[in-house]
Amino acid sequence: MRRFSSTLALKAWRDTLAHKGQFVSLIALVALGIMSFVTFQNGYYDLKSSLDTAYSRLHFADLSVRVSRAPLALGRSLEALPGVAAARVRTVADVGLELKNGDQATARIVSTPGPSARVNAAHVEAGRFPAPDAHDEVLLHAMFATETSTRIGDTLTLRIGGERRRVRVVGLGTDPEHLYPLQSEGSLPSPGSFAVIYVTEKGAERLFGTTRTGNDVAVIAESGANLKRLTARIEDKLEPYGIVATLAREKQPSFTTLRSELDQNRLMARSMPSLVLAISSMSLFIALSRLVASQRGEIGLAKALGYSDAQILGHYLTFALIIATGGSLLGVGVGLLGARGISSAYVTMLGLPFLESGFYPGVIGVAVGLALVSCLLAAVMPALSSARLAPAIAMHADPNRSLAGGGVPLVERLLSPILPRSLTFRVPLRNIFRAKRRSLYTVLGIAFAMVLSVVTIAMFDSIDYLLDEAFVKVERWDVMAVFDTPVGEARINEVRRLEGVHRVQAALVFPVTVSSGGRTEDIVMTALRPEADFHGFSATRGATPRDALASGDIVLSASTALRLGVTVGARVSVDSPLVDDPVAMRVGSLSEEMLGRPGFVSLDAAAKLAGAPVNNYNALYLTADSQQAERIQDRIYDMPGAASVQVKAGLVDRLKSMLEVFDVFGTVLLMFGAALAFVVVFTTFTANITERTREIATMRTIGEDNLRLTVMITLENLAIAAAALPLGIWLGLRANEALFASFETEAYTLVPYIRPESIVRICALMLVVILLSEIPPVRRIFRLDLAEATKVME
Amino acid sequence: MGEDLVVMRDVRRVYRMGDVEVSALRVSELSIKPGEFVAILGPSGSGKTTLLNLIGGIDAPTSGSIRFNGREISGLNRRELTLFRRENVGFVFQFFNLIPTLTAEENVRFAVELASRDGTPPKRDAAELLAKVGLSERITHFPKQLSGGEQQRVAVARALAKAPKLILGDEPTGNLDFRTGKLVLAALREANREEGAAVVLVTHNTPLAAIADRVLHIRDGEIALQEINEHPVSPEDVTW
Repeated sequence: MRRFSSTLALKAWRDTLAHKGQFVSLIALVALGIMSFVTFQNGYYDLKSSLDTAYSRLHFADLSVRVSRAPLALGRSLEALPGVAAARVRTVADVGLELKNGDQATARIVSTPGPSARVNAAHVEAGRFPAPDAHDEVLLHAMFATETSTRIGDTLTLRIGGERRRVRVVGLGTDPEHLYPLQSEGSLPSPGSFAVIYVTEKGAERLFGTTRTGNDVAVIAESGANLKRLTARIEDKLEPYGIVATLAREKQPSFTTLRSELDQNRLMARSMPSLVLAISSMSLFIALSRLVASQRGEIGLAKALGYSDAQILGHYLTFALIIATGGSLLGVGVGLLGARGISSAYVTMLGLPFLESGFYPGVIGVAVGLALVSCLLAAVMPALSSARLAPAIAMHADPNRSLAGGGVPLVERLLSPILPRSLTFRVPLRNIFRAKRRSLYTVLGIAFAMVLSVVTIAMFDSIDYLLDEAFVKVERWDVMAVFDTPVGEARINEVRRLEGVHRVQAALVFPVTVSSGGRTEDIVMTALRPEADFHGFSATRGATPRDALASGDIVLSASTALRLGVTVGARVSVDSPLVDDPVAMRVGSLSEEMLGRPGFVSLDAAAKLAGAPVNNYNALYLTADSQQAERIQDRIYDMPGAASVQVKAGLVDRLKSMLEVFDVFGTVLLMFGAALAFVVVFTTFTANITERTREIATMRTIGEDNLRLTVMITLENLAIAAAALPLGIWLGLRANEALFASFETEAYTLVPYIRPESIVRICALMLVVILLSEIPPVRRIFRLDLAEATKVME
Repeated sequence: MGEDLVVMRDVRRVYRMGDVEVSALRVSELSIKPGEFVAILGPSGSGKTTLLNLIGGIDAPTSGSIRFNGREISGLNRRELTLFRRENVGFVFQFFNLIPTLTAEENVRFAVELASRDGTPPKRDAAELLAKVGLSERITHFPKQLSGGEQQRVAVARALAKAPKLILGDEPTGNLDFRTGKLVLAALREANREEGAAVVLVTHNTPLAAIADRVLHIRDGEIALQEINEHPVSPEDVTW
């Protein structure tokens, strides 16, 4: 028998037109899934490509070694070492910065030959690089300039060693080390309070009073070189110059942050489309099953006329093909546009100098493949069952499809004493239990449609929770000052006497590497008095952190302990760059830390780690009048050795402002969620009501009014919503937990959290979506031709 | 004429299908008296169902006048027509059209509730009505658990629930076998005799017309012949 039937093809086309509302919504459903896949996948590849390009074109160093001081000419001799492709000695130093409006910030001065540098080249985005002989000219990091509205031509005041040095901004740019500027590993992004300023070698000499020397060596390895051996060779060579710290590219703050961002982006690119595609496939399955079920009579006729099972199967798979084609075209088209927008927004947000926007045939291929597979999978079951129907059975209508087993649902029997006797309430309840699988699909459809919205809202709430918890309950200071020289009692008293300062607590902050069982973690260690309370602990295991500190034990953040695979009582090795040999310490307590991955020890313990006296501090934590905080910051920057002074309120504001970027993404995701929910609910409810056309028409014919019918349908949908909403919230929260568990970031730890009012808002939004999606099928009922509809054989 | 329940004058029903107009029904004059049993006979597509739909207020004429109990119904809006059907007309359909999620008693009670929605006390009791049609043992059964004849008798009881002045039956035996068809006809005839409700029965089955007081023959959208049946027979005596 001929496989292809032009009549069946015509029927498929006519059926499509006859059910165009449903087909359009199914196409939209598939398109949403494909759109999210293409948008996020293309966005990810664009971002990765943009990042790789930036690192490659700007000659990002594989390694940098901080030394006490080394001659600039040492770079050449390092290049003679085997495995070294390029090396450069430069000056890198953090100083205070006063903006034209008087605001204070921290500036990292980096000396560089500019765009021509063979290692860590500066990239000029606007203006020009400082002239070699103009000592007061600087290139300012573009992201900081944007944040602080600093323009080319503006003057900045640097505060170095208690002196003010004025420099002029002649250009805006970036470099591979600071594409996303971070002061140190694990520190919070604060693009408005941390500036990177690029100067010529001569400019650095003038600022710091040095002569042809630098304090940092950046190295690019030759392709294929063994980095471990190379690092050892370079460290040997630099030994005479006082090695302070060696930093591989993989540990470089900006690099790790961007890698982590890229990883999260990849995770989103996988998880979000999977979620949307799963929801759309399930809805498609429900809708196609309904469509096929409604055509039993036609299937029977076609088979009675002699069409083969394969032809019938093919006919119903044609529907899937039409939906997949429409969904792919729409989804890929809009997805590509969305990807451009996302890539551009991401590249701007992350400060990447180049936007590499590509066309990835593989992504399109996979997207189309996914659409086809999900549509065909959704259609194959109902299509197979249609093909298997015997003609006589298919044509025999059962006008009395009723409750399975023909009984009153248990719920109704249980609720009978309190349920109104009126059938207006009982009909909706029975409709739910009349086709349990259909109701279950509807509940699942709504619940899955909610997941995306719940995940998005929970993400926002978790970020707010982080900000509130971390900065109110954990970080209990108003101003924090870090000095690059030890701070003695005299300095502490000087700070204490500043107007508006209530209390000063001193601490020693320094980087360490903690190791256990072959695993290592780089963390920032804070040495403090056991009674110090500028940091609030949230102990999860072991003694109270205060007791642990008093016992000379180390307090680790729970996430660091998890990564090291240690718990309370374990012994870890703590290696500080300030002493030669690592120190073994006992883990006394674990604390839930949301910002960074800090560790804590007592000042006594720190004396061994830092090789310094017990009362040796470099950080001061102040409680102060909020109105005086900025003035206090200004005064501390005047003090010698002040490297960074942070006002907490300003830091929180900058963080919140930075996180507003995520509002855009969140809004897009929420719109996705709402659109998905609408399409799913609309498709399901339309099918629910279409299947009962004759029944509803009969009710209208015998005198039931439209209002009461609407009430009955609404009650039924609300009852389904009552089951779907809690399930949707639960699924969303689990998805949120899974998402957070896979987030890898040094700067913060997100704790899954959702506000009760957000749950209420999501439920209200879903109810609105449900009521709105009820309108088209209800209008259809109102327009029914009663004479015709009551004669329909269902 | 004041005593007529339904009066149709110069009624036309034209359907527009694209650019083509199809005249489905033309009735210059027709009246139905209270308590009368009228059978409408005619071949498929002759317009008999269209006539029934116009009388029952589920379709509106293109032109002409339809009066029910002295009230003009041809110009009523959708809401007014709903109220009209609720208060005055009982329907019995070919495919029974029971609500599958309701038991026999509840299907009837659904119509009882409708009739008493304006605050008037229920005129009928669902269980009694089912007993009348011989289904007192089946009141808790769902449609799926009833035979076709039983379902149609539930439909008759539902039509009676509102104590309507008019019962319309569109091929009510069309989907039933001979024996159960006769049971349904008997139920309708009994409703007509005992309740005093006028019954209009559409059928293409000529022998059924023998139970009616009057028979309308419809051909090509027009009433071709009206016959008064001086001696209507009992449904039990009808054969086809």
